[in-house]
Amino acid sequence: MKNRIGLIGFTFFASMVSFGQDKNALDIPLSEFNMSNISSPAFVLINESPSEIYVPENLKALIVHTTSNLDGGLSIELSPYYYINTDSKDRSFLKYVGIKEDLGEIKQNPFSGLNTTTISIAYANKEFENLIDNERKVFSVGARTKILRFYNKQGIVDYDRKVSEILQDIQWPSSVLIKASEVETEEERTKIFNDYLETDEGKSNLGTQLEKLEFYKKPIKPIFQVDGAMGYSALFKENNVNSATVNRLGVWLISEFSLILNKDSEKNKYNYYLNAFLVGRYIEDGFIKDERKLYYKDFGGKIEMELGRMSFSYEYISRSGSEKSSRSVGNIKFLVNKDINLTGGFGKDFSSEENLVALFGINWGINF
Amino acid sequence: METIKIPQGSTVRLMVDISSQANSGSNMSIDDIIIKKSTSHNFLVELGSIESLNGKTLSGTSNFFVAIGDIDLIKRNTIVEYRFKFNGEEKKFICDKTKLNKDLFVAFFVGKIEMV
Repeated sequence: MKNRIGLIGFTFFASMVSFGQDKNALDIPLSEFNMSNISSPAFVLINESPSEIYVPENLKALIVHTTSNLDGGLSIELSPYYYINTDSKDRSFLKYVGIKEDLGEIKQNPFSGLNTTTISIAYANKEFENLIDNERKVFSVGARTKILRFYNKQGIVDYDRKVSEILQDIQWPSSVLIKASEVETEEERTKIFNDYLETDEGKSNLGTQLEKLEFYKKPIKPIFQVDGAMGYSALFKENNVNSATVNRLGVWLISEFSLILNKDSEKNKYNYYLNAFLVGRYIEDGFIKDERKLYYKDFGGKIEMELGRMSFSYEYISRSGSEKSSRSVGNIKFLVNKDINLTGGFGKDFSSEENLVALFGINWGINF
Repeated sequence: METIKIPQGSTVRLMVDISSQANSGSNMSIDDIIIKKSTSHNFLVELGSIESLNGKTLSGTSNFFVAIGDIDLIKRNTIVEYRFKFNGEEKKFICDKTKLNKDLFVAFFVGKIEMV
């Protein structure tokens, strides 16, 4: 009970911090709702995830995932990309998405998504079907990366050109720049720029360009992508640090195909997508009482409707190997604001007993 | 505001190098009259003779729009470098960066050009 109250408090605190950072949080356009991680490999491996089939898009530096019905499961996921080679003088938008123009020909590097690699750790206190008695403390580590990623390359180049052309027309008067150069803090500088935007001159000079950018705030997704992930977890057989541990190991691939449903629509503030996923997974499961190990081969899929802030999906995974089973879960995802999303899953899990999935997850992205 | 001191008789060129994961577009002005616009990450501005530039204010802004990723981290890793070249000499400046809102940030330079 204490755990539940603590996590509810944490959620409330996270929401307040996040809303406090932006007075108009509810008016933020979708492009800013870029917290797309709904779980971590470390969590997936120990069945603490409302959805086991997902492919994250935009990444935060650090993400905190909580699930297990607010009962104490916690995972932390880190994106090293933002902290590696920070002095690089060779960054560009097209390089990041792996597209370059070479003698008029547009080329795509399908491996550019490797820069979205994340590492994660997780902890949960839970029961496992083959370890019949009480809850056990389980620790897990995981990693995931984007092995392949394909954008509509012509679309990306057109997007970059159009946005850059708008940006080059945003001219700040030297009087604004001089004022901004004379203050100490970024907060003061931001105020000087934004105060100018509020003046009649600012609105007249820059209003049109800023309005044109509105259309380009919709998030861009690859047409097709493949993620690879792996996880390893350890569980203490007794509640004693000297007790023996058992382990679980998993590796998996997930592909996602995205079809945009409202392309070039100026009426819609958000892009709507129909996403189809396929998953293949191998798990070596030592979370059993005796010395044996169980082996699972999982294959499955998921269909998702992404309608702005809300996503609805259904996933099915078939299990073969040491046992035959399946998982069948419906999911809902809601983007609360740019740093927080909520996920819920309800359905049937792999286990033959106590196989009800009714999980609620909170995922909080943090910058530092 | 910076003061850029340049010897008499010099011809001045400015190299701008931008490194950022965000979409960007830049413009350069002398006394608020635009002399160059660019969508490129590396570009050259021929500023001309110091005699014609003396006493004038050079300002440059690069505007950045973040469509993919986290604006705070992308801004932090963005570098905009101005290199003034004249008479075989080079003066280098790193631009200040300021976040304007959840999508946009700007890197800017403003300086007085002085003939010595």
